Amino acid sequence: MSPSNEYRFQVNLSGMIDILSNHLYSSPNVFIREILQNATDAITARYQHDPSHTGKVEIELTGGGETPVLMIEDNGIGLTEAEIHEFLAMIGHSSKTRTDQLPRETSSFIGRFGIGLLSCFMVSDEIVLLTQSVQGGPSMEWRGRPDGTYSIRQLGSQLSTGTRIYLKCKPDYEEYFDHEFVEELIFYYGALLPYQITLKSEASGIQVLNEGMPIWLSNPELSRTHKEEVLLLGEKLLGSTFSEFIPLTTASGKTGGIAFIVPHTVALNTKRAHRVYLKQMLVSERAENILPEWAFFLKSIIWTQELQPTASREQFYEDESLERVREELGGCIRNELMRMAQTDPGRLENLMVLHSLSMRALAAEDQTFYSIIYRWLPFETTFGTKTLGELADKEQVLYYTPTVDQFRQITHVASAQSFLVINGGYIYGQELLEHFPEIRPEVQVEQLNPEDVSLVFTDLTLEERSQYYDFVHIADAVLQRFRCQAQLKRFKPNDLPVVFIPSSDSLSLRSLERAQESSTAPFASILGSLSSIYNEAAYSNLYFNLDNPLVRRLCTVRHAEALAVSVETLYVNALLIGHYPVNQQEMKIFNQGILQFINWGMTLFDHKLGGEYS
Amino acid sequence: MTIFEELMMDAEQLPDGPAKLSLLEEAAKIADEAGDIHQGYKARLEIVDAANWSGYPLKVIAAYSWMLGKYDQFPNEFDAFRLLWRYKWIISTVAGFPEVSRQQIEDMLADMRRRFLEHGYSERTYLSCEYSALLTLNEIEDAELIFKKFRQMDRDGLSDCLACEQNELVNYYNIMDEDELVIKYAEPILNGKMRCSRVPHLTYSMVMMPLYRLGRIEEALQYQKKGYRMIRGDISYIWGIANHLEFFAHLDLAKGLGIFEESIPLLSEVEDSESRMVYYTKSAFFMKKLVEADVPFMVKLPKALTDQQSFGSFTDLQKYLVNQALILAKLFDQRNGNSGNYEWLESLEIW
Repeated sequence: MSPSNEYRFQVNLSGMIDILSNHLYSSPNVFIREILQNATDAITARYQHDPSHTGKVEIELTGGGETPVLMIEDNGIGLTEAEIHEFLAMIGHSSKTRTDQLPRETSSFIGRFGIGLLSCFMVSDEIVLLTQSVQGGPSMEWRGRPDGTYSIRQLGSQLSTGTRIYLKCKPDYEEYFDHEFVEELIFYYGALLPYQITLKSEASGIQVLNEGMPIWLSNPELSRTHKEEVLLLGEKLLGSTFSEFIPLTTASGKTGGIAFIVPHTVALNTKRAHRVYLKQMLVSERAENILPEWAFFLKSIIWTQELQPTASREQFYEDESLERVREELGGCIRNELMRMAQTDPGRLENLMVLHSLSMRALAAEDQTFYSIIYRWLPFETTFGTKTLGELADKEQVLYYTPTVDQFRQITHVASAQSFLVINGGYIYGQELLEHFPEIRPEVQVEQLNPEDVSLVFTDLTLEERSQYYDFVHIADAVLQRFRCQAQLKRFKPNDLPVVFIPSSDSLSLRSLERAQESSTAPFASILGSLSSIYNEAAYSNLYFNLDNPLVRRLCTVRHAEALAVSVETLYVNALLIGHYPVNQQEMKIFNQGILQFINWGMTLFDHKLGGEYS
Repeated sequence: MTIFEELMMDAEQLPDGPAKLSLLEEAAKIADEAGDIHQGYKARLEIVDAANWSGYPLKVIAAYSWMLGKYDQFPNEFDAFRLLWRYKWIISTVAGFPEVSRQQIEDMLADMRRRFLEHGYSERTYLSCEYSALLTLNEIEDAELIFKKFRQMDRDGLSDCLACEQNELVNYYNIMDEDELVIKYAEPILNGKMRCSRVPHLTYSMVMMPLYRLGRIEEALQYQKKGYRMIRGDISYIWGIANHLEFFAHLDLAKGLGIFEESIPLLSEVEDSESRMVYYTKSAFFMKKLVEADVPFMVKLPKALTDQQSFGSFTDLQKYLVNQALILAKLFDQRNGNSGNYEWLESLEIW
């Protein structure tokens, strides 16, 4: 292509401003960030000329209720006339630079400067800029307007080195020039900037807005001895009260910060929000990807000199350096928890209770973390709540149930027999227990199938066996249609007549059957076919307790109908006690059984009464 | 807050999987005990979603059947769109169990078609389901016809998202053994222009073998790495994991063995027989390569497997996997009334 047929298209500046304000920036608020950024860059550039220079930024609000004017002055490097033209040219050129990776280096300071200044048009119809370059030459005045025109002239007097920008409020944008608003935003973006920022107004006089970056933040290990100050800054910047924090640093020393432990339980899917400062200037308060996923119980203030922000400057590029930083910061958190485990286990325990869900999720995902904190993980057991550490120290084999229901179903049997069973049914319980031997190989973990509880049942003697053979035989026949077998054993507690122990398959089968009861034709037929997957394996057991007086009596009943109704009724009763879903047929049997018993009871009653009075 | 609400809220915070499902099932039970059909419906809607995305098809079917039954009983009480949308998942789920007969699948398809048309949707989504059922039934030629018909129709409110449909196109050409077309249609997914919560996870596993056959090994390896990371340890993607095994059977036995050790324990959780068959088949193929390369027998096997049988060599494992694959293939072929699965196993030369 020859240069003769190359053209340059015109960029409509007001259109650009619209694009900036509506698409790139989340709100006009960012004009404060942008002018602060320009000032910071100018001061940084001047440091390179003169390392002994003391930078400062003065902001002034004038104009009161009429048309407010915001003035911001820095004592940075200033601009020469040539540079002013250049930076305006750069606005037109900005589409040529990679806008998704706005360079922050001082070498391209001017190009960056132009774009940042554009954002001021979102709140002001005229920008006036007075500047004196450190390189000498006359002081200059530049006036720019949103239609893209500007004028430039030499000033008669010589200003001190630096730049001053005047923004006159656009109608309807008064709230952006409000004293409190400006004060808040400057602190918000610039709290950690390493030079003094003052705000002057008629009403409030001169205030210093920032204190620079505290030493314990640039060197987070020191934060341990500045606890009060750390917590105070956390409250000021993150807006909640904390009582615990974890210092963060990377090996390179180019990223660091403080992670505050959120003092209330955090939902797993809460957006992670961390405040991140790039070169001491706030980049984002919604950076999700700077800490590992599992760190959602933390809110942090992080500064970095090594990461690249995305165009919206609210996240960082997912690249290798971010991955490394994230891993190292995650390591800090892990190490701190480990430290806590050694030096202050009580604190860790509290943390576990408060953030138990996150801790469990993290442990299930990350074995190293699991091995550090398992000792404090609480589990419900038949002996009350115990930590996994206690359990592992005392028991060689840990038995657990995979669901809360199964735990409930066997808890009375197991605890009456001093048999320790862990409830693995709460969130991540089963996963954690299953992987436990990987971190404590000497401990065995066994899933307790409900049928295993029968191990702690005492078998009958041979004599008893033959004595009660008839009863078991009849009961078995009665229960056949429920795909259930009758077993006669002795077990504690004595006041428990029967225990229903399903096989896990029989539970799945029950839920399919229940769905079948309430579904439409094509589905009911398919559910019927699918039940066949379970049919063979799905025999459950109903255990009768020979140590129970009622069962003893039952064993001697000779009346076949009475025995059948009793067995059926006890069966459904055992289902209800065990929180098993009961189907329509079973409920019907139960109701009929009760009615039958009432009937028999009344007959007996009549008979007796009749006998006495007649 | 009631216990039901509490359970639902806790469940909402969890990723799809057994932990979430157990909370939701508890919630459904409480609703049933209280006789509250609205809450029962609400809990089951969540069960259907969570079980579908985490690979528990029987739970999907049980919960969905209940919902459909209640909807028919009280049609004005529940939202039809959300119910119909999920019907799509049911067909392929149900067809993955050889216990379900061909006639039952056809009846269900007819029921689905009637409901979709009654609610003013076109035949398109129904056709896409018929197509996937025909694939499972191994009626490839019919499936091809239906697929073409489906692609010619205009999308409507029940259509899958564009990324999913593109992924289906990739799958289609995969089945048709058109390697170049697989890559062509996978392009917008691979370069990130099309994606959703389920795509590109499986797309990566579908392009590895075609790329390998086309000699584009570097790219294949790159997608293997990306793709495996997205699906590892997830039983709902066991089918894709099997593809990674097949790929490494050709390329890197050591890496493949790592994937085998990681994935074989998952199998005891996989309910759906079609996925099991695919996994058994491809891992048997992988075992065969290990045997041929005379790799020393060092492999970590899950207890559930070694409890059944002891294994002394990769040949033992190969035999076991082949046998499992054959049992399932036979069941499916019986149901389907053809010999497609047996032929497929034979063509892969897994024994």
